[in-house]
Amino acid sequence: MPPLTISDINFHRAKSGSLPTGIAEYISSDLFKSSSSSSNAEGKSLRHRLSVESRTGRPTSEFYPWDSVTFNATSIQREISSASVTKDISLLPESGTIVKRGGDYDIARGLNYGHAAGSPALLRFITEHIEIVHNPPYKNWATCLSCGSTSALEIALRIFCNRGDTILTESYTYPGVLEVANLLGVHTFGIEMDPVGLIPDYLERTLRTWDESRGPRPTVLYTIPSGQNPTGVTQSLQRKDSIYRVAEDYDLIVIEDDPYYFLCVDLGLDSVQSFNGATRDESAAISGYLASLPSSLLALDKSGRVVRLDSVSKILAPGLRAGWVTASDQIIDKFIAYYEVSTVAVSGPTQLMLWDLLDATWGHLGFFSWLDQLSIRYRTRLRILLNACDRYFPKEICKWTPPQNGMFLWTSLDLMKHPIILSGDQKEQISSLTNNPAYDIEARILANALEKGVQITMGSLFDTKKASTTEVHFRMTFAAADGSEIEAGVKKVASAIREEFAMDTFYSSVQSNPVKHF
Amino acid sequence: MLSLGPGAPRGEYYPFVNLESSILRSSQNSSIEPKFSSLYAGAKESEETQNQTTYDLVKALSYGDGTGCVELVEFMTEHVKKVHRPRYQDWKCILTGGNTLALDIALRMFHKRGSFLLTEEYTYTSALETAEPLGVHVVGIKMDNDGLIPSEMNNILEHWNPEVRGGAKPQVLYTIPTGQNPTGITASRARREEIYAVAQKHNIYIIEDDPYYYLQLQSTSEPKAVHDFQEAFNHLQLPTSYLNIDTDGRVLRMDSFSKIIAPGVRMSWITASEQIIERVFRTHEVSLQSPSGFSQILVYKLLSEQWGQVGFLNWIMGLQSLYGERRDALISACQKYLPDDLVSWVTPTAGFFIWLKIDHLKHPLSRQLEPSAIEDLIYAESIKERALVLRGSWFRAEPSAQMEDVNFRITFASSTFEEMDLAVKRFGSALKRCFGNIEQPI
Repeated sequence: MPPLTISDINFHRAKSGSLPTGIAEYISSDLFKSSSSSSNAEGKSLRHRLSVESRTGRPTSEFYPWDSVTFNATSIQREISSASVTKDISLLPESGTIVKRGGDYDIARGLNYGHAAGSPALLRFITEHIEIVHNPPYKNWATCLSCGSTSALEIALRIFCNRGDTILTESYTYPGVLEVANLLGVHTFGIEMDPVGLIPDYLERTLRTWDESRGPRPTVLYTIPSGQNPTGVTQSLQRKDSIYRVAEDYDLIVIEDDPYYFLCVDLGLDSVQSFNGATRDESAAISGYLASLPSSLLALDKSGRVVRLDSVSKILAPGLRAGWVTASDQIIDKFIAYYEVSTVAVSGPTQLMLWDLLDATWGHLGFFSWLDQLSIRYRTRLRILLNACDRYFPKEICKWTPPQNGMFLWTSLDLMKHPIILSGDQKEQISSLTNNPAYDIEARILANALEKGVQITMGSLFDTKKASTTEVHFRMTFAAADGSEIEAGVKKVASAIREEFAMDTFYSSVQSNPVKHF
Repeated sequence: MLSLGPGAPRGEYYPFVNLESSILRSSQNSSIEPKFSSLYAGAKESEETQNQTTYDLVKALSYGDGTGCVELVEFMTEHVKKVHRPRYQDWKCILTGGNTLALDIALRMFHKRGSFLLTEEYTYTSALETAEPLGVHVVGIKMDNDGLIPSEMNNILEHWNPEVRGGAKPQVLYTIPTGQNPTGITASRARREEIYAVAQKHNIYIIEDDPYYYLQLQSTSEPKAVHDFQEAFNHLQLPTSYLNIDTDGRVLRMDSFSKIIAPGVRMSWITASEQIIERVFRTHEVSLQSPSGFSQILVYKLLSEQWGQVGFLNWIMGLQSLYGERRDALISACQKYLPDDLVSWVTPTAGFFIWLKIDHLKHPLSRQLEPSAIEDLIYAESIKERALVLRGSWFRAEPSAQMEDVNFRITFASSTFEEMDLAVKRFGSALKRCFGNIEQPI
């Protein structure tokens, strides 16, 4: 059976009947999956992977007396209208008005209690979206809404980890995961990376040689596979395959945190697109865009061991506090149960506005169009950033690799070229744990850059090991400043680096005698 | 400052440009037509909007910090100051994602697995369901018509034997002091003061969950727009909160927009001492972050820019008479249809619920059957009659203890008056059928 595509949606919806309309009525993404999806085999049982806390029976909505405490929605009359998009993004400006009552979703329902999985009209769109983009290759996958990926990640760790457990992450990773793990009494262990992501051999060796005195062998891998925060690395398909194979061998749960997935900033894409030029129509553009998206771990997952976290923060707006989780239905049931006794549901106004925007106004094609246009805008900004780096950064010290996804550029500075190292006999010292000057150098560059009026993020913030290093890293984003600000910012950063490395005095004198390093 | 730092998208990349909402006047007596609509301007191409002081759509849709919309927090802080007049200095408010979340955060903050929590003997089921997976055991305290009984609470704590109980003495009391769910009881000021004294004696921290606080049920009033805060406040007849009694900073108070604005906004506010609020803030940072930006801007614009402090109280006045009328309707249906030798109740002065006590000893098989079996029979009969009532046993804090009383919870929150009347009529016939041969000698 062929996988679901955008053009199948209307037929598919017509076939699956009308949406449930009750208040906080039971809802599941199963209602919205295509028959192609249900022809796959089921994933594996994950019960043995659940924490003590989540193994306890959490309630289902049947035990909530919400039916008898509904707010009298007729006493509130609101009309929310949303105009659509800014002029400079070439989507048709459209506006929608959400009425008090009527249609697939309305104010009366949106502002009432809702089922934790999401409102039916929005969950339908999201389920279709997941199937079009990822087409998970097992039968019993499911999707539910989340209050953003930070919240989903916290719940995922509560579902899979007990206090004292260790989770595996990339060696440089999102500080939020380190903080939430710490709060839950869970340790983190970083896996070495190369330019295509975390290294499967290191992952395998870590698991095989795990010293149980550190606690039980890890059962959870947390990874940011596209435009990784902070390194900007996107895992290749081959790399994902190898990582997934290790996960299969060691029965790992893989948390795929992928907020940058849709921001395709591979600069090679622009030349292809301008080549096709004005003649291409929207659906051709969208096919091109969809083809440029990386394959996700979810798309490789036959066993149902991947928990994929999507977020609207980077692609629509962070203040929505919304995202979605896709995983085996055994896991999604746990997520829903946690939400039932915490946030209860994603904010009604957020769901109304998301539904109005995505389903009622844009449709799947329009949403991909938005993402495509957004990616083009980010590519323009990245190009400005890269050009500025080329122009201003001392290449004998700084190294960077253009990202394929996301909003970050990761720069490494070679400490072996630092005057402190070159002048003294400290090459030995720097690779020993004591007296490592890396953090001082990092802090000085950061402070100097701030003094010059530019903010960059220090690499040590993301470091899981906090061990001795021969490099200093900085993360720069091209998301926040505009084009001219990016250029001016890079120039200031470059001069902070040059000053730290004494480029104009000391360094030029040793140029003739380059130091070999590994 | 040029930012190449945090990975937050620019406002101009948000797809929502502006937002307009039509809202009701705060007082029902104003003519029906007028609606205020306001334009919540959104993304502009410059950064000017981001530096503006007012809370606009760009701010709402950006990353917030763990406290929530500062302007709305200020509004709620002002409200709390005027309404509860906390007596100690370092109290603070924070916005969170609804009282259910607030409770999850509070329980995780104060409990380790295996510790004990005090509650009323009947309590909100979701509180029990939140405690269970966290490994928190619940101890129910006996209640009378004035709420949980201080001497019972003192007894439990005074004679706590860790070995017999299998854990250390409880350190936290969870209480719903107003229009209690499910019993509908509102504890008097004197009762609350006594409980607070017991809490002080045993160093108990109090979680005050008060979603029905504002819903004081007023039957007769013809609400008119009141322009003076104190006058409106007096009119509301709000009870004394534990927050008001609290001199030590041992109360965490949870207030919710669910019953007074709309449940779907998923927002509530917590008031407690600064050190506790700081912990909630830290938990937010790694979970919810903040309530939805759309929820915050809609409620902020409604309360702060449209209604104001006095308008907010006027709105609540309107709700009070609305629900008062509903309460009266359900009570009169009870008087009409329920056999008074079998059923008794205390007319609630606040909240959504009427708690019906059934004299199960009048059941013909009361000597053979446990109260729980009689509850089963009544419930089944009621469902047969197609009237949904909730069984009292669902709300028992200690379901494993011997059940002695038979109760049912009914609500006047949402059905139409005709539906309420019909439902009670059906429940009445179910009861009569169940206790059928009551007059006949056995």
